[in-house]
Amino acid sequence: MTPTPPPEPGDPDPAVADDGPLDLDEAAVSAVLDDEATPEQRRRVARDPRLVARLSELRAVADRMAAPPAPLPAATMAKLRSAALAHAEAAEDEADVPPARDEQDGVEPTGATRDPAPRGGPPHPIDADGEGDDTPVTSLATHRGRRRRLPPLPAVAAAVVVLLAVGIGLVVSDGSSTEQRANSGASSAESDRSEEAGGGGAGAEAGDADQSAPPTPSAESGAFEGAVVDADFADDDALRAALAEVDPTTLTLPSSVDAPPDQPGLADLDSRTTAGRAAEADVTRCSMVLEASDPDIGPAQAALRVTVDGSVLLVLGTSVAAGDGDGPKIRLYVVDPVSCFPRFVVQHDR
Amino acid sequence: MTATGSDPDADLLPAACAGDRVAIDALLRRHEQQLHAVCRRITGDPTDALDALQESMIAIVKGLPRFDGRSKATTWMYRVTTNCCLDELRRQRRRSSVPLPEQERADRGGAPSVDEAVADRTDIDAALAALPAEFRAPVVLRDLLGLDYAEIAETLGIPPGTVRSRIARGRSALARSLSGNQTPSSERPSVRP
Repeated sequence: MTPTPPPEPGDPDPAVADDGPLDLDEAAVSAVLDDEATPEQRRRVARDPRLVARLSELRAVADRMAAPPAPLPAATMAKLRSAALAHAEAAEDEADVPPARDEQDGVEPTGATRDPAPRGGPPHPIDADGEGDDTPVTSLATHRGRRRRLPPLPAVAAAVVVLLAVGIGLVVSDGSSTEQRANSGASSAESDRSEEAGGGGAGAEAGDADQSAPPTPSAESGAFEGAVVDADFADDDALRAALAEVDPTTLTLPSSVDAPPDQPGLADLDSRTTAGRAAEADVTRCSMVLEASDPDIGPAQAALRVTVDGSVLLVLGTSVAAGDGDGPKIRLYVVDPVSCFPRFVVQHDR
Repeated sequence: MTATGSDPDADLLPAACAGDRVAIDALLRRHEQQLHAVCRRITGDPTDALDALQESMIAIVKGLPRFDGRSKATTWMYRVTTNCCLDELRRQRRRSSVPLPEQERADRGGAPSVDEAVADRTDIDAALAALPAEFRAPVVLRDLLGLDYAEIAETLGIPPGTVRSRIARGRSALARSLSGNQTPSSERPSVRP
């Protein structure tokens, strides 16, 4: 018998392959070890002292394998998590569409037929020893040079509508020159984003602009001229708690939540006023954006306009098809009224 | 998303799938050490494990809105993570890099067994590195995470019979490697009369 040279690290063991005959004794011992053996395999091992000894051998190997590697420091993990979240947000902004489930999740055992999708070397924010460095965590999208994908409909729609709103607002607004300057700046920024994301779609739809376009937000506060606010909340948690108690079909707030004095709510807005038209337009637009983002999401059935720590937010109550036989659910999307991006969601089971 | 009632992550899944950062963070935090262990064992290298773990977390965060709840969240996350590890290994292969030596910090508090533990991990890394990736993954999922064959089959997307044979073959090779005996079992001297 020719002596086998010792393998180099990383060299695959040539004796391990799918196509060779499987040693039935080894298969039986392994299955017994994993408590996955057939009765015949159990008998086979039990009556053979050699296989019983082999079972002990493999159990020792499995025990060594079961010892977890040194855990990563919590700070390192925190960096990885925040980088992942930041990357996902960046991907949302870039209108990154995830690949199909099978493409993303499927394991190709040999790697021979799966597109390896080469990527650049990953400059990692974490040192090799698992210690974090002082480098701020940044989105990996900027490092890895992933291919740019088409933006999703919601982003394009939001950009188009904001552009329309700003443009029409500039035409019909009798606002102050200060506001107009701020709006002009916002228009320019949005125009750039729209051109980058969606090309000339905005211009094509400009002629269909709704004359009831909302007034534009203040460049600094995001608050709209003529506030329409149903309730004020100190922070997200307070709003989340209130939405957990709200009647999801009517969005009637708990009695413990007081409407701000001297301000109309969405329920009593006057669509003849600028503020009323703005609020209506926000609800309609964000409802459409949500619907476009997920076919299971229905149109908004109820809406609230709230402020959280001074920022205006919309709450849209939408019916969502469950698809699991549990019946429809109602999700309350808390969204930014300008971008329509969800801030968080509270779900009610019907 | 239809979270399975028995899924231990059902408390976080609805919010996480809806994009709630707090819920996503909590979900990742709950499983991050396990995911890292998978990456560490499959890639066999601390740096590659971090890269694979980073990719895995990104893929999980991006994929959560599409998670359909047909499997447990952990099964899905292990699947994503294993794929990221295998991708990382393919990238490594293309770069023809040699695995780095063990660089993990053995910061478990000065116990006298630290050296032995590190040496043992190095041995295991070397033994695992000698296994083809398609055999390494099921062995790691079985021995490290304790998944049963059906769960491994679901995680890796291969038939349970293939899982069974790959674990048997892989474990035999590991035993040979760890004992310094490279001779296949069929050629080993038998004690059988």
